[in-house]
Amino acid sequence: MLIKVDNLTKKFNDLVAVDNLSFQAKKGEFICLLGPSGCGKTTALRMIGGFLKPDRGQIIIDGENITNVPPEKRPVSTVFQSYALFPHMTVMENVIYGLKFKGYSKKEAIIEGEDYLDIVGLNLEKNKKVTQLSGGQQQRVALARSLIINPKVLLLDEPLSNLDAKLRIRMRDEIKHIQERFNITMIFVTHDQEEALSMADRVLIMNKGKLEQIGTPEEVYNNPRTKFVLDFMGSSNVLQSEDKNIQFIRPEKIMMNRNKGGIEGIIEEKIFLGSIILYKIKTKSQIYKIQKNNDGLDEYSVGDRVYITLKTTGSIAQ
Amino acid sequence: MKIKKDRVSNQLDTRFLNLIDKLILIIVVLSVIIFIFYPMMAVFKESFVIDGKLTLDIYRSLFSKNAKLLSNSLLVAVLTTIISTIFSIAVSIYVSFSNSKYRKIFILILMLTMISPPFVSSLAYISLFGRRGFITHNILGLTMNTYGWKGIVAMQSLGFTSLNALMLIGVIGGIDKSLFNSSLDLGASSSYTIRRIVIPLMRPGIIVVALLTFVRSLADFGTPIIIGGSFNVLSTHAYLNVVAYSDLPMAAAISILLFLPAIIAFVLYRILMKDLNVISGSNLREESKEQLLSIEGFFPRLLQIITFIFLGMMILQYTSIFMSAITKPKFGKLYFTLDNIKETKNYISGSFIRSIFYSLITGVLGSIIGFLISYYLEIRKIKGMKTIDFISTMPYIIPGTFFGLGYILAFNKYPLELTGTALIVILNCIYKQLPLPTKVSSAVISQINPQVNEAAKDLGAHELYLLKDVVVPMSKSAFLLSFVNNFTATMTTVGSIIFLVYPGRKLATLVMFDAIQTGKYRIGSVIACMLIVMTLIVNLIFSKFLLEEKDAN
Repeated sequence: MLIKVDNLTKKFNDLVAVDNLSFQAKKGEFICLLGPSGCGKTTALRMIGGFLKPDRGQIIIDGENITNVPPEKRPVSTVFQSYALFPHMTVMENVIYGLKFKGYSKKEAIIEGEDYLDIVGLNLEKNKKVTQLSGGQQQRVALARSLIINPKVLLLDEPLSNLDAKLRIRMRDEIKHIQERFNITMIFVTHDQEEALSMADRVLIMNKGKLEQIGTPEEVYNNPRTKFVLDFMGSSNVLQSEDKNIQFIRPEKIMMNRNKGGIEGIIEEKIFLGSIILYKIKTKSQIYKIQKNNDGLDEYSVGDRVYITLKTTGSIAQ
Repeated sequence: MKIKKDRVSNQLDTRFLNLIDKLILIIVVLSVIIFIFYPMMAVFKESFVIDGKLTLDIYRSLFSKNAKLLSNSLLVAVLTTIISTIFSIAVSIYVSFSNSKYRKIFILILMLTMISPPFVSSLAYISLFGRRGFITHNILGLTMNTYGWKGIVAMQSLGFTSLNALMLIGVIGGIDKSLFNSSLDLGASSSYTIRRIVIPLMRPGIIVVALLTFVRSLADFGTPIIIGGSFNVLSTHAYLNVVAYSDLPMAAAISILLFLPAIIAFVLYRILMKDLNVISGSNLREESKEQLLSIEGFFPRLLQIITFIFLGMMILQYTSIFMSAITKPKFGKLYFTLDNIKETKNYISGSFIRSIFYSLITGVLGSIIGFLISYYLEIRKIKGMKTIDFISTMPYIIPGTFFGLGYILAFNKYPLELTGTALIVILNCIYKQLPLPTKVSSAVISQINPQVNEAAKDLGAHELYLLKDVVVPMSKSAFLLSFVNNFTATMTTVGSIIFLVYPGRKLATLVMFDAIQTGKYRIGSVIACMLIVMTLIVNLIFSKFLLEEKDAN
């Protein structure tokens, strides 16, 4: 394992921000720390980055315990949410800032800097002040500035949250490509489940400082282990909920037709969302949320009588 | 249901409200022109016009006779600027990155200078290093003349460093903390981060601080008069020309000469302050508990040493004032006694109460006028208000004696014959201190979400109701802060009112100034202590209110 986090705990006064967090990641793995705001994911990242001292627990990278190593000596680097580019320096000066402490001469550093600026597609802007760049470009500078010092682990703190929706999706791909190209271990903090599912090798879901579940995107979506994960990762229909056993089915997994079979119900509500359409169907026992692709084949209207079939249900045994 | 049509009286109401609104605006604008711009112009006129003719005679004689004074002034100002700027950079960085417990204590010590009357450093200098100084005479057994430019530079540097350091601490506080983290993260040491990230980002603040120091040093007449000995500078010459020789044209010419660097500094200040906002506008969400820079390595240690030297001098200064207030020499030894305090009673006779009274009035009226200016500027965006704002912030940097002289020249004849009255002193204090309430109010008002105002208007509120129901309630903290600042400034002011106060109606600071000038240093120390305690109490009470206000929001 490249990085091992053991029983990491951090309290702010009475609030336990991170509670006994443990996980591991292999070299080249892309881990997403996912959770609602206030769940402790950023606090965890800051501890790994060295900006916060944990109350308990340890962080081991490549066999070396770095829990008490100051940020400037850690083999990790952070891409900050605000990018934290130095406003009084040019793009190039920002990118090569960290090389000086690795013993590079200015000349060597600039040659290296050109390479990395090429990778993020900003070589033409190298002499501009960073304040003249757009949000997406600043993001790339921050990425290049961290990558150039060749960290063992790259930490990203909601790096896409300041970008508009289109750009965010493009940057997802770019970050993923860079990650694969450098085969670098990344820990990426986000509250956006779609972001996490689309980028991560494994998703680590946190709630109230605690680890809820860690697994591949498929695992956490299809087989949530807790009620929290079930609710946080998309919507679902709960079929049965006895003390510790919850049976559920995701809205897109319910079949629906006009003729026969399954449970009879009436369409109560229809919500058009562009590529998909959501229906709420009232049956004798409960109301089901159902999701259909807007494929133009079979469209239903409010009031229609339909029959639904529940095929792949899941269950949580807590 | 039909909506009621506007009643006739409603329209009358609106017309009435519009009238009041216009009236307030006109009063505010006129008062700024009359009580700031006009006195300044009066000084210009006095120095250029003799017997109704435009002439440069006064300036010719000024330069021919007083070239030495000019070079003396520049010498002191340049040295003070360099020393004070270096000291304040060191102090502000060290204080900003020390742990939060010490940071609070350091800031309190710095704030002490803000609430102290001027001359405390000179007073301390005399009682420590003067002819009968505690250190020079009692400890070292010397009776020497320590009066001269070195003392002036040292004491001015000491006095200005607190103010500068507080400003720079604000500048550092406004820098996005993740920039420091980012630098460490990339492998830089704390020391390197301070040199390469913190100081460059402080640059606009450093320039502002240096400019202010230069201008304030040029304008300061108190320190050179008290501890300058035979070393004279332009500002003391201007002061003496008014009080001793009654040569107002010459005093005006010197004031203009001192005013020129001030106005250049002022324009630069306004431009640079905008830059500072750009930096501080970025990101303040970061938690304060995170690890900041640590004081390690040669450079940070150097800053630490400078800071401790400075703090040591501050503590020495206040201890000596306090000690000199409660001790008396007898047969070459010092005894604790309350005699000084009893004796002071005879000197202050009502001046202390008068100081408090004037300060209260200035506090209340100044806050209101400052608030109205920023309201018409920031929310109503009235045309030409920017000019009024510019004029109203000028007193921040123009020398106090310039402003006081302007008042004598402007208000000595009908229809505004105010000289010798209490009113002229109060007006002078209000308008001299107007920049602060204006700035504070603008800062608070510009935080109000414009959509809140639009919502109120949308619901049918007249501009005046908007002011009463939305803007004023949301600006409470601005009023509190403006009041306490004005109160403190008036309690401790000297420069601008020294020519205006009628001999029988002195304020405590002036009594203190007189006591020091006539060699009654212990009386001066008692009054200094009284002023410090009084302003300290008011500041503490109000900072409590302010904190509650913050919590409530």
